[in-house]
Amino acid sequence: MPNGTVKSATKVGSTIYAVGTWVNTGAANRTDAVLWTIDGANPPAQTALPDFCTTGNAGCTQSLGLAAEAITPDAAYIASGARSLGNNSTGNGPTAVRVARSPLANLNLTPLPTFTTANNPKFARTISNDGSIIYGQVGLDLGGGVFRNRAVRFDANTGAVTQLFPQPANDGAGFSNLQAIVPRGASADGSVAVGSTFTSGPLVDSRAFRYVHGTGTSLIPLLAGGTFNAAFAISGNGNIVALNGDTTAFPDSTREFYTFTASAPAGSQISRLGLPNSGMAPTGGGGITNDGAVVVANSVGSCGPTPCNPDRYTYFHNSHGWFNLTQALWRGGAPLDGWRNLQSLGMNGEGTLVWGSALHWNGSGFVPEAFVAEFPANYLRDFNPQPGPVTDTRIVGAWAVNDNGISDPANPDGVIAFMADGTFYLLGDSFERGFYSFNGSCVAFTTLVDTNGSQGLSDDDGKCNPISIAGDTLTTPDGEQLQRITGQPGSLVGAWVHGDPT
Amino acid sequence: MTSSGKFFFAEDGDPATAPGGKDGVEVGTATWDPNAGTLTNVTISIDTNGEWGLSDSFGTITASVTADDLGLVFGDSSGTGLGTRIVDPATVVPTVTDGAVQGTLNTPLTPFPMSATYAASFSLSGGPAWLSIDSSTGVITGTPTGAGFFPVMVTATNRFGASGSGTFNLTVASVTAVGGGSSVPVAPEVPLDTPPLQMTFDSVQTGGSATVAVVDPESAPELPANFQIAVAEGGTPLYYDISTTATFSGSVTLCFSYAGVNLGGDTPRLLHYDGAAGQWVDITTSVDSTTQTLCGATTSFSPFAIAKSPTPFVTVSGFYAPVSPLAGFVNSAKAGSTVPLKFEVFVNGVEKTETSGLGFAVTPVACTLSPEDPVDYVTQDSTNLRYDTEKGQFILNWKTPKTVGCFIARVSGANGPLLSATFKLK
Repeated sequence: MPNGTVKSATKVGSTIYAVGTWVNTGAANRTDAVLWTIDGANPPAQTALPDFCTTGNAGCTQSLGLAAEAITPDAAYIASGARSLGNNSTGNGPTAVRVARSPLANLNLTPLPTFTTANNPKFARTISNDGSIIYGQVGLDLGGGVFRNRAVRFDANTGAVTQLFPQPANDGAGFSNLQAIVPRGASADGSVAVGSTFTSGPLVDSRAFRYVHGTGTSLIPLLAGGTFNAAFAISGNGNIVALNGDTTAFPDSTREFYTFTASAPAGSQISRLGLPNSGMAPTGGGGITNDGAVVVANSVGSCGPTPCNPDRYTYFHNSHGWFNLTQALWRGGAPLDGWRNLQSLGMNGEGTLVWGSALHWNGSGFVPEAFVAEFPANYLRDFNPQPGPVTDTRIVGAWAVNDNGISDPANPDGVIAFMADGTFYLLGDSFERGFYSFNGSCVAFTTLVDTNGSQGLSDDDGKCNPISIAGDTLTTPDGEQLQRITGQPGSLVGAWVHGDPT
Repeated sequence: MTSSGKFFFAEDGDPATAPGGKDGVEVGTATWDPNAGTLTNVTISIDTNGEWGLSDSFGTITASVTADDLGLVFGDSSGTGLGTRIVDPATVVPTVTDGAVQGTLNTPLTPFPMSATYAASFSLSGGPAWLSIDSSTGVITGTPTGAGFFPVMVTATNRFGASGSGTFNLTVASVTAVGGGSSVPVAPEVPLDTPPLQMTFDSVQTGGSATVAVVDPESAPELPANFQIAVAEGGTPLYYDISTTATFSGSVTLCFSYAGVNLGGDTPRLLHYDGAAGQWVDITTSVDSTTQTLCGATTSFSPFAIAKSPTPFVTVSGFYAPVSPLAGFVNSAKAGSTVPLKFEVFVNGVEKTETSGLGFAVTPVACTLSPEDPVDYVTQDSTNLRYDTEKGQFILNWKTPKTVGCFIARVSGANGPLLSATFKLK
């Protein structure tokens, strides 16, 4: 699905329905809200959602930012943005719509009755399982040319519209100036939703909130010493929220992932998940299973000079720790050659579908492409690869890595140490460790700790990369030859591990 | 650490207390003194692991490689730790150097340290109960309570569980009897897995012990033509060094079993190297193919070799009465009479009963003044040779010439004369 991004997906019978956004290169690169039907054919059938506008209407000039954000589990309804009759006065923003999938039909959302016509629904972020409740945002005209997004709840059955933060009590104060609903950030029944409020501008000033219909909105606690947090997923029952936030408990005062369980006793509602790659920063997107056992989250690296596109990894967390999503895909036999920079934008409640966008090699370069990955039931929940003794031990030892590509065992820039029990360490100006397997012809890594972003061995985590070993020379897939670090008997030269490596 | 003194040091954090917290690396240089077991001149160029690592050590950093080359003891004034070398296990399988010791009955062995690479522990198998090895040092000790040859397997195991084995050959000699002639079985069993060497002393003046050991074939003198060294089943060339602490006179008969030795159809021979003459001497006195025993007689020791020869080992016995084969004796008989020459022939220890291959010749010689021994009885038969199965001997009836004079009568085999006697015909 080139040039696309899947924002929500569900499987009905043997068909996966996915919705998202697609760069329509044939229409001046405008973005369209689209529906993909995946039934085994390749490529999947792609259908643009209707514009719901008439020629000449200001709304039809909308070219960017359109996306179908969520689809109900039965694939009956879609929460989407659209070029629509009800577009706002500037003609630059999309209009939130509720769409019936078959046949495609706009079940439009009415403007907020208490707002002016300029305050039309703007973004539809999530939809309840029965398709009756949509959470989204409206652009509130505060007058004087000032517009602020407001988080709202639409009830399609009653037509009722509710602001999640009482208006105008928090305007201009605290964290209620700007509000956003997390994509697919509502419980299955639509009674609970999560989002973020911002003072203005910088996301680092965000505070995650949790809204319970009929009860109200509360801010989700920060990590110890933290100043901000951001929610990115909520469990089906609305009880568990996945977030990231900063904390002074973290060694470098950076961010880490955590969950908030609303029903847990005070003081034990927060469960820290740590950070899968301290060389990357948590970023948006991700998901959580209904039981909270699996959290999918994204990390982004850094690059420079700008403009540049930093590398991105998607990780998932289960009771055994963090794992790169590519690890699960490679081990599951997914044809992942040519794919990189996976970014998950969601996961279904059962943990069997993960979707998002990635870069895919098209023969001449990497281009954005949407993906949906399907896993067996509980595959991600139970995923826990274990190291095993290496059957071909020629790889065991320490290998010199040099930045100039010429391995110098006397003066390396870095060292890769492979141990006989199937664990590895990468030491240099950064650090990686994890498991590896070597069958004599290819080596595959399972990176468990990664401090160097996308550098090192973690790229293509899980892929079995062809290598060859002849004596004390290891030849990598790109032809680089690493030399083994060896010394005379009784010498300190070589690699050592504290304790017993077996 | 590299040969240039550059080091890389990594810590991985405890996810329970500091998720990813202490994960980090130190990179720097240091000077390692293997004799002092210290790391000095430490410089740090990269430090991402917080307060851990070499950058925050207390006092002198110690680092010593353990004797097995696979361990590291390191630390500082705050404590020590143990490390293990990360190395391909296939390259550090222990290799045990064979050892050999000669012991004396009821006398503690001189402690013998077995040598092995990468060994973390040692064990013995196949040895007598009184033999033991220090599992950590590989030193073998014990007090022999029985004589014999004990090829013990010593197994060295490295810290990864891989093992290699070598042999520790322990010889414990028996003690000879004091007094006159004695027959003494001498350890070890030579060749292996055969009955022990039997030494029979004509006369022992002072008792002592006797030992036999395999000699390095590279150090043994070259065998003469027509002999090849015999090789035991295990491939060991059968050169021996035999010695005794006893004092004796006369000769010593050495009897080896050659069971299990591949002779390839040849005949075993016991050779003794005469150092004064600088040559090997065939001292074989008997070959018993039934018991597979090879004997030889010597008056001095070492080295010895069990060789094989394509030439059968033939021994004879005779001439029996009425003819004397003794040198210096002249058998006298009437010219023209028929003299019975009675004898036995043994080929490789088996008595020959076929007349084929036996020859007879008479050569005139000058008569000398010698003691005469008349042949007690003669016949008038013509010359003929037969094997008398009842008496178990050959009988060669020699019809002597009618010419008076002296003659030597010889019985020959395929490889030369076997027996002879001098006759004076009157």
